[in-house]
Amino acid sequence: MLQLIQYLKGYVCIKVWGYSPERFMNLCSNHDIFLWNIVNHGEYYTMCITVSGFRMLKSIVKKTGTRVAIQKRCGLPFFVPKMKKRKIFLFGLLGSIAFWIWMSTFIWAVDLNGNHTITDDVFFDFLKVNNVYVGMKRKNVDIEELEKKIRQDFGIVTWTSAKIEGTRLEIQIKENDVDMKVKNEEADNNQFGSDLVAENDGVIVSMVTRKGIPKVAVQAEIKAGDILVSGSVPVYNEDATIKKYQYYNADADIFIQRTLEEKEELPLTYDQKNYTGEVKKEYFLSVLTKDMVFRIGKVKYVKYDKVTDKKQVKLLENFYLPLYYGSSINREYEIEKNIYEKEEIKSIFSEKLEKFIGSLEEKGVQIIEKNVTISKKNKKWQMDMNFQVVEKTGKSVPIVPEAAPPQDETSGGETLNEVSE
Amino acid sequence: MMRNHKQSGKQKLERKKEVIVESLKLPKDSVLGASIVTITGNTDAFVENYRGILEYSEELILLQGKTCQISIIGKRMSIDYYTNEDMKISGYIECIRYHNSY
Repeated sequence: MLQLIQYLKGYVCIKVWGYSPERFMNLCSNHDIFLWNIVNHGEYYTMCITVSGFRMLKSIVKKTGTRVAIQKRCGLPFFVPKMKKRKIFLFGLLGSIAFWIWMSTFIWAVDLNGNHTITDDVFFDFLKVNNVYVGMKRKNVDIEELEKKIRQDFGIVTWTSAKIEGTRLEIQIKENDVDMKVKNEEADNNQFGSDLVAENDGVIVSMVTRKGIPKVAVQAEIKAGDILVSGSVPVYNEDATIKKYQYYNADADIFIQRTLEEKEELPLTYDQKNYTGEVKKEYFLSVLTKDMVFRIGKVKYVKYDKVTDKKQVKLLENFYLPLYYGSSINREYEIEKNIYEKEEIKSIFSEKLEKFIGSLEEKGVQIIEKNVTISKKNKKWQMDMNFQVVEKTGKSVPIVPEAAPPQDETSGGETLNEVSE
Repeated sequence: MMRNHKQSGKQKLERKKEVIVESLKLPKDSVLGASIVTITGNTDAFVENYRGILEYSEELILLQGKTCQISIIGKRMSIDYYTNEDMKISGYIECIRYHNSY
């Protein structure tokens, strides 16, 4: 702090020699002249003194018979006149500061976190449509509007947070379970409620109805498209005729047993990549979308893989710049035709089978029985999978009444009765 | 003989002053003009209440206090700053000695 003040006020480094430098120092301190960095060099002393103090030295020098010479002038009051002479340097300095400040008013990087089902590409396309892109002005980003828009356009996004850190726009989202959302939306969208309709053929194993009139019972055989639980609940007159219908969103847990057949095919031969070991490295520098590639010679390989490692230039933690650098490795390969061995086929198929069973279990499907055969048919390897599964069924389908809702009691009852039959 | 007598008189006066200051619990540095030397390790010395420098070299700094002289002996010593109230000496301090004038 003290050094900063001294720098701002300016000071001089002086050399003192002669009859009695000690007396010189004493007189200085008696006149309240601040001295620091006093060093004895044998024949002479060097010390630092404030500019105002230096102006008061004349009488002291006369009194003590010492001699004083300036060695160095330091501080802002001396620096500014020096700078005035170096105009181009000054302009460059000010220009570069202005440039950096100007550059920091743009967004140079967009980060997305928390997306699982929405791919980065889809999301960045969405951002582009909404005029959020790399290189835009920072003040043009309306964060609240953007968050709202994300929640509106992506139904499965339940929570969003966008913030600007330096020149980087950081977007965090949270996704919800897909089914839940779709179901709710559908249910909300229709005014006449909805029926539960079978998605597959099968036999009902268990059934718990929460809302609506069940149309089928346990042990019943059903076909895809059958109404399982009706959302239209009849209200009866005293003479047991239907007065009107009340509409609800039918809700039930219905489990059916059914056979599930799947088929997997593989050709007899496959192409294998064999890397020849020939590698060519290249470096690149890119500004926004323009690339500059540095490489010795050309890539003369017929077939090659390219692995690129791209990095963005940033200052400190969050000042991203529209400048990318990195390197790519081109690896040559040759294609070799191979024939599948029986063991290979077995392991590949069993891996696929495991994956398939895993995906079924993820959906909550219970497997009761499975029958898998691997055979060679029509110059192809084929795996037939036959499962007996128990799974939840029932899709919400909005009710479309054929006639308008009943106006008077008798006629309305009749028409709707026909519909339900 | 006469001078000795005078000196002992001055000493007596000082002694009396000291007794009064001590009994009244007054700060010694401001009333008696005693110098304060604060030493940090053997590299930094901080001196207050002095009149001036009598001698300054890399090996010896001799200070005139209000009641006595203080010599600070060491190696590669220099004065970091020097004002009317206090000063800071840095270097390799070996010894501090007081020379009483009476």
